[in-house]
Amino acid sequence: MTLSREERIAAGAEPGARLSRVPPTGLVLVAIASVQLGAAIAKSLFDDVGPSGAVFLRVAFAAALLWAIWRPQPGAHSGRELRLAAVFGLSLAAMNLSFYEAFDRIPLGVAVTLEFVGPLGVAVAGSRRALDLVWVVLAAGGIRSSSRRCEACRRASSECS
Amino acid sequence: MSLEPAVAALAGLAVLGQVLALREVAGIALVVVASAAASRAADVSEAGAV
Repeated sequence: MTLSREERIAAGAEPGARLSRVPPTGLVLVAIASVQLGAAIAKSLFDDVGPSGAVFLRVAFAAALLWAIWRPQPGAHSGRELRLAAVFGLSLAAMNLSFYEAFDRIPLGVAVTLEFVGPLGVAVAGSRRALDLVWVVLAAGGIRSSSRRCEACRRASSECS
Repeated sequence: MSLEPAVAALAGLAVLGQVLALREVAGIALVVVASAAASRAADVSEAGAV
């Protein structure tokens, strides 16, 4: 008999079982702290391995850990699912690579603030409320203010042009 | 998730010694507030639509 993932989690047979008892807000805070501290530590490796080397290390360690904990069985999935997983992996690699190249050139806080344009845009694009326009203007002002006089940002953009 | 830019700025300061200008800190604070407000408003309107 095969159980769905939810049933296995409920039965305590999945590694996610223990995590499912932690409040979601706590998990988000741990995730944010882990991602950003990881990024800062990665930058201190840039001199030795470069941004792409740091991305490789980060993703490879994550894959090895997840493989050890979750024991995925690729054979149990259809070709379509495996293709989707591969596309997902490629988009994550592209995202990480461009993000690491960005904060190789500008401060981490400024890079993450710029990165926020994407999710915030998606959140607001689906909205028809006038109040959301206020938040867009506020965020645009913040992004402008955090990147306009940034020396490193100016250097980075002249390097690109 | 809205706290992400602020945590990034703190991690940059603590681990890499990246001191940001007041302007940059103010900009990050604006983005955090706008993002929190936009996602909070989205939750409220979704709950109201049910």
